[in-house]
Amino acid sequence: MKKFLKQLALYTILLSILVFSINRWYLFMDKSDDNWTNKFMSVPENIQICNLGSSHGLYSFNYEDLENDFTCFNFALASQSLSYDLRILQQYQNHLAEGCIVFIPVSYFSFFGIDETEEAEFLSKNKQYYDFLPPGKIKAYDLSTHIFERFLPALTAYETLPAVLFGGRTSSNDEIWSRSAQTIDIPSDAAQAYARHLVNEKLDGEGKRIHNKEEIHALYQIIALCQEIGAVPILVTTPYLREYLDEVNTNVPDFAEDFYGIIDQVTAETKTPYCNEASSPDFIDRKDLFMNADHLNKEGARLFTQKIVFNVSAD
Amino acid sequence: MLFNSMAFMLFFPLVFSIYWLMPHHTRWFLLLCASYYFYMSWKPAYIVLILFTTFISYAAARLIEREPLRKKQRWILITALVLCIGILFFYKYFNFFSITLSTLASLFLIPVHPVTVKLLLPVGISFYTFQTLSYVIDVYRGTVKAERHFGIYAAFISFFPQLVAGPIERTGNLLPQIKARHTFDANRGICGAKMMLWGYFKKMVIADLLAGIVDAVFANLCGYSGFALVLAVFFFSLQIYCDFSGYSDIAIGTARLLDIDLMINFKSPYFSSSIKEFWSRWHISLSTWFRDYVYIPMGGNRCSKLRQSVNLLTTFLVSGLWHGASWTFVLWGGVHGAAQIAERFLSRPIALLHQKKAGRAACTVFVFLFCCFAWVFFRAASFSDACYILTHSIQGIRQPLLYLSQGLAQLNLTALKLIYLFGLITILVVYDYLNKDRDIITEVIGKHAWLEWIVYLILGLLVVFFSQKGIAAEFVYFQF
Repeated sequence: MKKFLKQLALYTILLSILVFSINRWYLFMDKSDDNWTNKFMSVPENIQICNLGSSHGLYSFNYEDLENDFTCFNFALASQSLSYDLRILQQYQNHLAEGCIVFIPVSYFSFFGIDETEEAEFLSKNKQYYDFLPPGKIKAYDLSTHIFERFLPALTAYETLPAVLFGGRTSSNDEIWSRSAQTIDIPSDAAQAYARHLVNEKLDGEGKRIHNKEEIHALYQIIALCQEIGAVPILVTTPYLREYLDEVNTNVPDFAEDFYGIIDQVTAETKTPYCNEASSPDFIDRKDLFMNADHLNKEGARLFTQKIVFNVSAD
Repeated sequence: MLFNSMAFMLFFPLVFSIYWLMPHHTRWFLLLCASYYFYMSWKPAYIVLILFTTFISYAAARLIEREPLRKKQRWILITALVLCIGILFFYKYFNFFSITLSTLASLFLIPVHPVTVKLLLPVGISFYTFQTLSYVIDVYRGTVKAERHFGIYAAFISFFPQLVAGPIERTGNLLPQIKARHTFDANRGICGAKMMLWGYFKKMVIADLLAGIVDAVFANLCGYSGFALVLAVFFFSLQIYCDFSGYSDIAIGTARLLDIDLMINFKSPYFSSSIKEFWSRWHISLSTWFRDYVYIPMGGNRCSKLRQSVNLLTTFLVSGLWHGASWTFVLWGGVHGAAQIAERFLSRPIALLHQKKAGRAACTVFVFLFCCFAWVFFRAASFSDACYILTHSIQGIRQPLLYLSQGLAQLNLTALKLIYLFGLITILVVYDYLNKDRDIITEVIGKHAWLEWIVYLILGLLVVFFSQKGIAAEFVYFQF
C-alpha cells in the first residue's frame, strides 16, 4: 500500500505542478479582453459620468473626448440585464462622486423575456461576472466556475489553449468596435438582431411578449439607488439604424406602445429624465457610424456621447 | 452517482480506505452498503427492485439446489425467470408493447387505446437483471453452486463498479472474488488507477466533447443536411464507443483497486475486420451472455445453416430490444444480425480478402462504415429520423468542396476546432490500434518506467485541461 500511495502522491504533485505552470504560462500569453471585464480591475474613484447597460451601452458610450475634464466610466457589458446593472451599481456605488450622471440604457429587449437564469446562453454569459463581482452578487453562483474563471482560466480554454500558449493572444476589442456597418449585410443583420431581441425567449407559448417583472423592478431599484447616493439617473435608448427599427415596427406594430408605456410609467413615477435617441436623425442612416444594425462603432459612440452629455449639461 | 462526478471523487477514496482497513471477512458488508448507497443516490425507492430481484434469484437458486427432481427444478427456474424478467418488462417494455399492440389493432380497424404507465426507468435494470438471470440458470445447469450467504450474494449482484452499466459479470468470476481474502498489490492498484485514467480520458474528454455536437444535430435534424449529418453519425460512433468503453475502463479500474478483476468489455472494436469479430470486441460481456443463454440454447451452430441464421437473427433482434424499448433498436440489432448471416454465406471470399494486408484493411474500413450506418438506427429517435439522415447525408455531394465546407459550417467547426477534435481522436485511435491484440498498459507502457510517467502525465494533463467542465454528463448506456 505504501508504494501505491507514494506513487499516487508523486503523480498528483507532478501533475499539479504542470497544471499550475501551464496555467501561469497561459495567463502570461493571454492579453485578450473578450468580455471587456479588465476595466473593472481599475475602476476610478470620484466618477462624474458613467453608464450602465448591455452591449448597447458598452458600444454607445465613448468618453475619450471627455476624459480630460471629467472622470468617466463605462460599466456596461455584452448582454447585461438591468438586474446585473443594479448589482454592479451596488458594488461600485462608492466610486461615484456626488452628483454623478448615470446613464441607464434601456433597449427594446430590456423589459421582456423569460427569467435570465432560464436562458439557454445564461451560463456562458454569466461567466464574465466571476472576474470582478463577489459571489453574493453573482446569479446562480457556482464555486467550480469561480475557480476556473478567476484562477485557472487555462482549464476552460479547450481548443484555444495550444494556440494561446504558443502564439499568444492580444485584445481585438478596439478593432471590432472600429468596424463600419457599410461592409455588412444590414437587412440580414437587422433581422437577426430583431429575432434575438424580441422573439427568442421573449414570447410565451401563445406568442405574447413576456413582461419580465424582475427586470422592470430592477430599473426602479437602480433609479432609487442613484437618488439615494446623490447621483443623477438618466434613462437612454441608444441609436439604431433604420433597418433595425423597420424590422421591429413591421413585425410588431404594437411594440412601441408596450415599450414606451413602461418607460412613461417609470419616468412618471420616479421623475427620471429619458433621452430617446433610438431614431435620432443624426445617426439613423449613418452606416459609417455603426458597427452593425443596432450598435454604434467607436466614432459613432464618440459623437453620441458628446451629444448626449452636451444635451444633459444644457438641461 | 456518476463516475465523473465530484460525489464519486469523495465516495470512492473513502470506500477504498475503509475497505483496506477492514478485516477481510467483513468487507462484503462494506461493498454491499457502498453499492446500495451508490445506487440509491439516483432514486432511493428503486433499491426495492434490486432487493426483490436479488431475493427472488437467491431463493430460487437455493431451492433448485435442494430440489432433487429435475422437473420441479425447471418450474422453480421458470418462476424466477418470469419474476425477474417481469420487473424488467414492466419498467422498460410495458409502454412499448402496449403502444405496439394498439397500433397493430388499429391496422385491423380495432380501436384500442394503449394503456401506458408513467415510470422512470430504473438505472442499470437491464444489467443487474441479466446478472441475476445468468446466476439462476448457471445454478440450474449445475455449473455453479448456489450461494448460501445472502449478504455476499447481494454484494455480488449490486457490486457498485459494474452495477449500472456492466460489465455483466458471471457468477464464476465475480462471486468467488467477493468472498476471497484480498491483500493489496501495489502493481495491480497502479494498473487499476491507469485504467481509470484512460476511462476518464475517453469519457470526459472525447465522448462529452462529441456529445455536444451530436446532441445538437439529433435534436434538430431538419436544421442539418449533407456532410453535417455524415459527421454527426461519425462522431456518434466515436462518442458511444468512448462513453461506454470509458465507463467499462473506470469500472474495471475501480474494481481492480479493490483487488477484484472484472471482465474486459471492449477490445478495440473499430479495428475489427468482420462483423463477427466486431461483436467479439464490442460489449463482450453482453455478447457472450447472449451467446451462452440465448444463441446456444436455441441450437447455436449445431444445426442446419438456415436454422443457424434464424438463431443468429433472433439473438440479435433480442439484443437490439435489450438496448431500448423501441423498434429502432430492434432494427439496429436486426441489421447487425443480417450482416453476420451474410458474412457466413460469404465466408470464402472474405477469408481470401483477409489473407492480404490491404484486403484486411479494406474490410476494417468497411466494417467501421457499416457500424456507422447501423448506429443511425440506434441513435435516431424514430424511423423517420433515421430515414432523414440516410437520405439527406448525400445531399449536395456533387459539389464536393461546397458539400464539405457547408457541413463544417453547419456544425460551427472551425479549422482550430477540427484540429483539436481530430488530435484527440488520433490519440484514441493510436491507443486502440496498439491495444488491439495485447494489453498495452501492462505489456508495453508498464515495462518502461520513464515512458510510463510521460504517458500518464500527458494523459492526466489532457483530462485536466480538455475534459468538459461544468457538466457531469450521464453515460449513454445508463438508459439501458
